[in-house]
Amino acid sequence: MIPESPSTFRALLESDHVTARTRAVMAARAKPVSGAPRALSAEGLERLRALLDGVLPQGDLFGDARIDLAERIDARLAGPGDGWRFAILPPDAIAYEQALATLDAAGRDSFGAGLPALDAAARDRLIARLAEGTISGLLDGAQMQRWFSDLRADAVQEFMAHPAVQGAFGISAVATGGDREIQGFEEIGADRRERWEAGL
Amino acid sequence: MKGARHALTDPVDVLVIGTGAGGAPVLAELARAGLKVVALEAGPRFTARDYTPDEITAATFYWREERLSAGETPQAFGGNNSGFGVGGSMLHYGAFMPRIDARDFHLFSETGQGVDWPFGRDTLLPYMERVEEEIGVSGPMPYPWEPTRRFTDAPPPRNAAAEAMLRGCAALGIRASDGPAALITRARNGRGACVNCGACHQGCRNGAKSGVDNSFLRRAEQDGAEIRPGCFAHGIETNAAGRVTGVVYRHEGVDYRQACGTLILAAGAVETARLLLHTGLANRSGQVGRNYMAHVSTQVWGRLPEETRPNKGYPSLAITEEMMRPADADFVGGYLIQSLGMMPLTWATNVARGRGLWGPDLTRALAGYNHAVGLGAHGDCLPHDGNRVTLSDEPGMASVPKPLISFSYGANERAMHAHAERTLRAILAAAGAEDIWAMPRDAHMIGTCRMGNDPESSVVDPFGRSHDIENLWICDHSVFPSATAANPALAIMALSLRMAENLTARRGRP
Repeated sequence: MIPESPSTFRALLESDHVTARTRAVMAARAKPVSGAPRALSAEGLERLRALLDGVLPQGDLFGDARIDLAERIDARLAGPGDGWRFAILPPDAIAYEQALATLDAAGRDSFGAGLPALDAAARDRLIARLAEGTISGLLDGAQMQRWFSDLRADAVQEFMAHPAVQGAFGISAVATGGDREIQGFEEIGADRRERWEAGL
Repeated sequence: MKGARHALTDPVDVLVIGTGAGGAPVLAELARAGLKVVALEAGPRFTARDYTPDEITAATFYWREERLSAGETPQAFGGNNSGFGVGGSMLHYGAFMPRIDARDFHLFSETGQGVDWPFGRDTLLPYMERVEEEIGVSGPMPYPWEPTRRFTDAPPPRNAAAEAMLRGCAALGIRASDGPAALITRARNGRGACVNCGACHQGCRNGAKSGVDNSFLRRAEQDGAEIRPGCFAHGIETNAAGRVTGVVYRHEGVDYRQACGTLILAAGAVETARLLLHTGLANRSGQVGRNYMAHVSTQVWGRLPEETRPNKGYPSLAITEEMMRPADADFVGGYLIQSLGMMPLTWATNVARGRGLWGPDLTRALAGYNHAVGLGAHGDCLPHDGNRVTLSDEPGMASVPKPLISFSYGANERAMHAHAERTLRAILAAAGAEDIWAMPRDAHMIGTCRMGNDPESSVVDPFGRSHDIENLWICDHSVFPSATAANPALAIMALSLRMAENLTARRGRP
């Protein structure tokens, strides 16, 4: 189940402070990605889902609903790229596959189960070691740390870009102005909201 | 090539590669002087009104071909970096427009470290003034650190970050002010006044932000210049005498050759060096790709009890130049401080890379977006032997090897970062922020084709002409002998105007 935006945010998206193009972008993003996996293997995608549950948990925000960040990152990995990579890492999709396999193997070694089958406590201990740089395998500890930095950047971008998250956090960044009039903002100092931001 | 107005075999007087801060002003000046000029742009031509504040979609005007980033402090590229489109990186730049401090032109003379520029600030000042007048720059008069500086427009209103920085600086006795922002607050010339929408980095929809797309390039085309979008230059042809005769570029998968009398490279410090290394030209000094520098761009963020909504308002309005030569400095050079608003994904990426959080702590940190407040520094950077652009062994666009950029902070950069972090933390704390965190960061791509008088230690002369090839010129951030603390666009545009004057004079034409 995918979380929905609060009605106030949906109303903002429908207002004349948002362009038709931006509205369409947000509508498309509210839907699941089709065709996953595109860049990762099926098991790589499963491992990524399990890892992201620990890296960027959504339960406090959405209860049982989830934005499938893993399939969004997979789609991104199949796309034009973000312009750079750490030279010590292989190309992004390969780095993801290898890092996830490395983590999965570390899970089996330490806890007797691969990433998707780990309980939350074991998964979190694995993530703590990933952050410390003490997990290695196909990639070494330093590479795994750099990859973890990339993973978190990709995850938070897909997360913050989602209309359900922008709605939950009350973010008005899409409302820079409409097609006919580019209104912008007039109320911009501390603790100041536009009239139409009141419900956010 | 379909749509090309000038025959490809018919040599144009001047061919410019790149339509950003380096390429646009010279293109406009040469067109006005009656020369037949063509500019190649790798990216497309955008319609400003169609820009979207959605940060993922807006990434289309970033240079997204993969770069390999190495060194101890590897630089992040992609977002808010090199541009891809008619107008270059000024399509997405932040429009913060300080002038280079006079002392930064002579860092070696002052300190025995770094290098001097081959001229001083007085040489560049008239060109900076012409740029400011033509594109429009807002700011307070008198400007505290240069009371004679004139602005075309009054500053836009302060957002929460600017208020906080001014409050924090006041509490600490640090002089601070509204800063120079390259945007207009009075509508004119078909451009709207700034509406404080905060999405400068995603593209200005009403033309308030002063780019080259809505100034120099517009004028260039009115005066007959031809701009060809979607054209990636990947070869430079020369004759037996070693002069440039033309450029090979790829457009929609097909290679074309444009003959030219003079070539100007204005593709940025990474791409200009990459093309020269790939073609092996203009590098008798062995200096192409060397002296790579990036600004020490420390950021410090905190949380205010009040709602800040960092997406609102011109993002980086407040400035202080008081740290250009701080009394307690344990480094050479100095840094500027600016207030920071920021769009949500860019900010979240900083949180992800800078805070080391994961789990519920990460989700909670992101939930604090509407209370976030930030400050940023831009500081000078010394050249180091290991910091350079080279070619990797991986093929990129048109089979040109992807660039490999190695960048590590030296002792001076580390000391400056530490000083900046202390200062920024103190200002934010004095402004009432809590939960303060800092991230080391570097920004802008500088060096790689240094200008100077000595052909042994520089690539181009003080006007930007190659020491080796008399009809090859370079005008972009690559020619800067030192990084200086200032955001680069203004000085690049000024150098471009100056180059145009010199180039036409040397041709013996008006």
